[in-house]
Amino acid sequence: MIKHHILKCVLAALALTGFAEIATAQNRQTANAQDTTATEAQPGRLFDVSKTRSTAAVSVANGTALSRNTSPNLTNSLFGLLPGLTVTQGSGEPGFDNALLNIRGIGSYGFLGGAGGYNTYKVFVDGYETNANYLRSFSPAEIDNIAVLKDAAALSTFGMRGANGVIYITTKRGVVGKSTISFQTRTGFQQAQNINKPLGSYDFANLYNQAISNDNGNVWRPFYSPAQLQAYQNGTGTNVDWYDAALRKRTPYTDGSLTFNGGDSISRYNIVLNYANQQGLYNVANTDATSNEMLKRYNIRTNLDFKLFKIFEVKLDLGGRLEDLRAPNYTNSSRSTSILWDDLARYPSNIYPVFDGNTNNYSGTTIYPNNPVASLNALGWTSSNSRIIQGNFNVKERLDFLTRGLYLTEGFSINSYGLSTYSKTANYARYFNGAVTTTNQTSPLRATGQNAAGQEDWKQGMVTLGYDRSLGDHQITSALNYHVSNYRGDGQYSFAYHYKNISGRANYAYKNRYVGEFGFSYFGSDAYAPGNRWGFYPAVSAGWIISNESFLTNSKIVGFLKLRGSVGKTGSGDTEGAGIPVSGLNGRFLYQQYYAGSGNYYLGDGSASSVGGLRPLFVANPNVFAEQSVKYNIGADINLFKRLDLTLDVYLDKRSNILSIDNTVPALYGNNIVISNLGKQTNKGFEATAVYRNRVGKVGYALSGLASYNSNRIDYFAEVGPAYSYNAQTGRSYGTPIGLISTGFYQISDFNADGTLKAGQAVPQFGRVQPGDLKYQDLDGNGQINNNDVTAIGKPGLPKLTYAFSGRIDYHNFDLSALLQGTSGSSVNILNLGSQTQAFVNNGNAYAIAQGAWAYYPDQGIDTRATATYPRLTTTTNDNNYRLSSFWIKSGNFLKIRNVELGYSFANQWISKARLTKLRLFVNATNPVTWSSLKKNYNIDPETQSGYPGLKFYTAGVLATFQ
Amino acid sequence: MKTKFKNQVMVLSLLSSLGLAGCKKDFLDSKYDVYATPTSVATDANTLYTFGNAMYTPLINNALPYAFTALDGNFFAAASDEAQRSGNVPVGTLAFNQGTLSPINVPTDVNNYYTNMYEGIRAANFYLDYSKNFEEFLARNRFRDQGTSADIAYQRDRRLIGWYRGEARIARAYYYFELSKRYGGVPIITQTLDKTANPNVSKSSFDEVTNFIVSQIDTFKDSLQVNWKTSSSDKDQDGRFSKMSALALKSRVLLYAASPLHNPGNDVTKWQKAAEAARDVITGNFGLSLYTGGYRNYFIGFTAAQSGNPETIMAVRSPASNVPEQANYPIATPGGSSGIAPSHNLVADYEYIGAPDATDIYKNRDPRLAATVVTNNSTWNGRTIVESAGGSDDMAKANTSRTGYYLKKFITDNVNLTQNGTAIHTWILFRYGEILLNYAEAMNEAYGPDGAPAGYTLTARQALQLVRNRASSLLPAVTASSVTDFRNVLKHERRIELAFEDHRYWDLLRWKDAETVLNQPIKGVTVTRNANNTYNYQVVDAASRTFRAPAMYYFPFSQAEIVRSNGTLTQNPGY
Repeated sequence: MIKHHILKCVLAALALTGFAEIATAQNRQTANAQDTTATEAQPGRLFDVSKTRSTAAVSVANGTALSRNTSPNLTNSLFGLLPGLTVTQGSGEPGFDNALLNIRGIGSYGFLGGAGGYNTYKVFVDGYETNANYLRSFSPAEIDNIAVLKDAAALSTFGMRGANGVIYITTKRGVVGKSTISFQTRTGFQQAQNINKPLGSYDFANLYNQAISNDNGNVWRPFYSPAQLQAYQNGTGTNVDWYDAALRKRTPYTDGSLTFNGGDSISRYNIVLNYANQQGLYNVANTDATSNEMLKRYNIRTNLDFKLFKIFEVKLDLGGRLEDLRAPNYTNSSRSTSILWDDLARYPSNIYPVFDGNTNNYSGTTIYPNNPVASLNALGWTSSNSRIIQGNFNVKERLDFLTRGLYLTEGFSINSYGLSTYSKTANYARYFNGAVTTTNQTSPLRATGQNAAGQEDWKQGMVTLGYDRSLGDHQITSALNYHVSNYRGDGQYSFAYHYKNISGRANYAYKNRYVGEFGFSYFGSDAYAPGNRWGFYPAVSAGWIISNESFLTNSKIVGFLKLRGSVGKTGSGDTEGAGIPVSGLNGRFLYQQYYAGSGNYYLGDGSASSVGGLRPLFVANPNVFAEQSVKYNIGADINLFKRLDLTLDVYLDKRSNILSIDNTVPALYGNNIVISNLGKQTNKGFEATAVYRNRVGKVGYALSGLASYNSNRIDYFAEVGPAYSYNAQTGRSYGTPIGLISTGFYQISDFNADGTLKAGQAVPQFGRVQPGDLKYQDLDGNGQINNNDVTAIGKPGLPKLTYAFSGRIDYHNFDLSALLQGTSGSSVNILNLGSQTQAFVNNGNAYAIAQGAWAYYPDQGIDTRATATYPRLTTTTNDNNYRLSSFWIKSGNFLKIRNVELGYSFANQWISKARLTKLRLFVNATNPVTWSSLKKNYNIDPETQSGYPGLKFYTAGVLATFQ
Repeated sequence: MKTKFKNQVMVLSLLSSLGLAGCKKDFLDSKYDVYATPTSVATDANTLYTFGNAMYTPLINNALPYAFTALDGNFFAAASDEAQRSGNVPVGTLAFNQGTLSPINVPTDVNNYYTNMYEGIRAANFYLDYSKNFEEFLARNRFRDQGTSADIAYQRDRRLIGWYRGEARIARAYYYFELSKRYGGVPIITQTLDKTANPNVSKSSFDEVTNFIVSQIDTFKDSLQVNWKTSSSDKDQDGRFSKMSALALKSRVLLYAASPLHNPGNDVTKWQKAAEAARDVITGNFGLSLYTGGYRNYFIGFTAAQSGNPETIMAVRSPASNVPEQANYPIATPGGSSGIAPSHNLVADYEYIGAPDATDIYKNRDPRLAATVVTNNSTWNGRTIVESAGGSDDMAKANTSRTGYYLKKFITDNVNLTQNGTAIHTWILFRYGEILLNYAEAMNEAYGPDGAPAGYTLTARQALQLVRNRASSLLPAVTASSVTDFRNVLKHERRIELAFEDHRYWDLLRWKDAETVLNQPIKGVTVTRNANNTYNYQVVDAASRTFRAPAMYYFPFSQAEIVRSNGTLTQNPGY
């Protein structure tokens, strides 16, 4: 019965193809081209074609390039390698250090770029979809190449998975020939790239006196007495550098991999073992009761290829990972220690010493309950252990006996993820001046058992019918594919994700000069209403290899020249996250009416017993469908003088049907949200890459540069119509900060004797102002400063331009390489950085930035009226100053040295006796230097502005290959 | 060929056995039905209760009665002259304190309140539709083989659901009152709006809203349980609206409607209607009288919600919590954060019941002071509060009270926050004491302090005296004889008796006193300790207040709501 059913499926799939006659080739079938670089295969879904025949915009980096940027997280190794991919470093915290990745900027609403959320790239490994978590924990040793698929031609077969681009990874496979064993390890230490430390007690107290006097109507009323100030100054007062107390200057990092590769005409293998050990920055010992934050990861990947009975080719790939994360038990719900960094930033130096009095009791107060040193030492530790296994099985049958070039493949993939947690926790009572201050009590270390904390499984299957043949001047490579994906998890996506994708590509080249390609996807997703689940996504593209025309074949200048263009439609069926707060659903199944609890009410005569309320969760919308993207791309691939390679791309991406909350529905509806395909956005930009290679005598060198530029505009946002067009988000780039324009500080001369503003000045509506407060521009000229005076005051947080330069030089056995990467066209809103920029607010801290505060106390010798760079200090909420305005918007531009590596390879005659074919020693510095105005002026790293800092690595290593 | 085919079948069998055979017809029908769906709802008679409860849940916020967290996580009192926020004044409270409330500066809590009221209204409207055929629904979804016990349950279901339908009208009326006391006129929605409906309903005037509320109460008051407390079988449902609470709502609504803000021409018939409505509660045979177990006790724990409590008309119950204690215990008490500090303006208004004591200004005062406010040198949280320099609660310390006082009313003493101790909190929506004061005020305006037409058993003075006698027999006699003087006495009495019960701000608005009172600074005391261990109190300005008249007599609709209404909703004047 089942067999019968399957047979029907297969027949249906075959019938659907219709053009079984035309179909396909597969895997690195390279076209016959003269140019060496152009014969390389360009990775693509269903099949690879040579770079000559490719009509798509794809950036590729090979596995070896990835290991130059030291990091246990693959996403942090992608800087400056892949044009079109914007990489932004986030936290450096082990296990929480995913870089934000955006392919071609922001196509749609949302600026998450990570797992979940709109505008998210998709990840495919060896043809099967995985997710961002899987990407993160790859070891570079497993990877043959990583490609970024950018345009409609490259994404034609991805349907609703394609609109935001795809990261397409191909893992290393066995090579026919002698067996080799490669071993690489590197070890060294890591440091914070940057830590912005607050003021010491003396400076803090001086500014506090100013602040509290400002709050006292500018009448000097110091809080700290001269005696206290003196104690701070001479070191007898409490003055704790919490960063020094809680952190180490440097902590160790090690990783290593062992690769076995080889094969013969029947079987091939590539086996990778990998290990990484990263310690956190915390100053705490690893004992039974305490633990530094740390990550230990073990990867094993076995890729096997077999040829059987002449017609079968079997691939069996198994990739497994164990990842153990451990951290001091002071973590938020996702087990990150980011809350400790909030405390470090917020707790002033003078609040209390680490220990209360001369006792061994940790200090702590109601306002500052979590003594950072105690948080590391007295709470125990927590750990999470994840296991991932991906297994792919593919079998290919060559059907040349039917028609030459015809083949069929069947494939199946399982991907399983499990997470469990284990902790040993304790607590401590907080003391201040000998008395317990908070609700916490000292409790002994207690273990919690191994608790399951989430699992996911992902099954995918596919059938491909391919046809690949050259006939005289005609070359055809094509495939038709049926892909089924079945995802289920209880973690982030606690329900099923099902999709089916029937897709195909056909690439046709004539005389190796003219290439045309058609691709399509007919994609069905379970997120939409029955009858509304399927979408059709076609794409056409063409290429003209001008260098193969007769007039250029003998050119000394032009080695290769190709123009290409593509246009097509893709979709984004990815409603998860999306800023749509429908709890638990992640924005799926919006076609279906759901009812959920509205909370409890309580009834009773002797005691209260709860009764639950029920209400519609949202207004069901049966018309909800996938977001649509129409992409246009024009590109050129050029080789000049056999030394200079250029790739240029220009693109346009028109989005429509972006799923959004309809903010125009009045509150009269009673808290019921309506979600529809409303939004529209346009995104455009370019990418350019240049690589120049040469060798002069014994010196070989390569120089390269790349630039990616993206610029987007919201065409429709469903925003509530603002009072003036200049207030609006619509018409601006997504994420443009909209705020007031600051024009300096109020001076004493602006006020009447009674403290009111003199006539003729616009009156701020955010509370009474006083000298030293921020002054704003009254855009609508109505005499009031209010939220109708807001406008664009900067750029979005994601840079428009990403650029990189790299160089590589070798001389004798030495090699030296360096990569610099920078961005431009982004703004940082430093108001969001809490204590770092809002001095004293919420009992917070003060940083150097506050020393520029406006103040005028002539009797105390304080007068910064003319030189102020910061509004007057206050210890209270200040709705006027701490409000989004151009004052707080700073340039996010930066240039970083991403890595520098110096290597020495021993000459063959020295090492061949030990059966070594390669022995290389190297030293590497990753992220050693940053240039940025934000860092220079405010000591804030432009990428990781708060929390656990981004890291620098200094390592030394060895690479040995045996044969 | 044959081998190949076999192989293929093998592979596909594998796929299929693992649930991957994409040709399975319902593969794309995966759903996430953790939430109730129309199908599950249609067969679940319990939804007649749960959809009914949804119209009550806006009265609760994070498992606490709404009023405990009405503004920036605390009582609304800090918006009025009753109290001052300690520590950083949150921006929501600031908007009231500084008079900067505007359509584009609507505090989040205020905005949420608007949305929540309409959510309650939507739930009530939805319920009226949903439960139309409830009897048939109840009968259909019932195991009939349960014998007589099933029948009793069925009868009870019918009864309780029938009342829910009446309560939906009253709940809706209640929410419209809460909206109109803030916004004046608001759009009246009496049906469940779906996405395709034209939502642009124009605003009804304040009087129209009042008339709507009153007509709903008059029409449906008899389709309600009369008094849950005295019902032998359904006592456990107390907390829902009843005929008694509907009439209490009517008394409050008509009192507001008769007040100067809404009755500029001082139409006496409005006061007469208000007096009559209050009388209907007093003489309605609901068994109401003032609680004699102590003024402080009444506001603590479950006291007010006990069915034996004769004063409570309707109370919102909640499970044990320590949120109000955490928020309002002095910062020096472990776990406390000072919260809203009662103003000296309020404290100074408590009358003396004996000779003033120069060494202790809090001595010989109306006992309601000690039940409402924590003063210096009194015992609170198991210790003596010492606010002078060097004392445990030294006012120079960060986040201590700005006024020298801490809140006591509604706050349970000695909750051990260090061990996460909790207490029950009950919010009194309507109580007899308020009705007596409503009555006295309306009677005074309609008939003078001592007038009472036929059918009215109490004069204004007598009603007032009942409240004062309960507080203390030592309170000085009320001698005011003119309507105006007596009015001021009543205003004073409301301020004292109903302190922190979320009346003050709204009373100041409806009396049109806000522009005077809420432009005065908030007073506090600074405390110095004398050598003989007595204390000196110096009255100081603790904070300034700005009330922008006349605009702030009504809340502004948020700019967003104005825009979304496509011009149907007109902004209140002055914004």
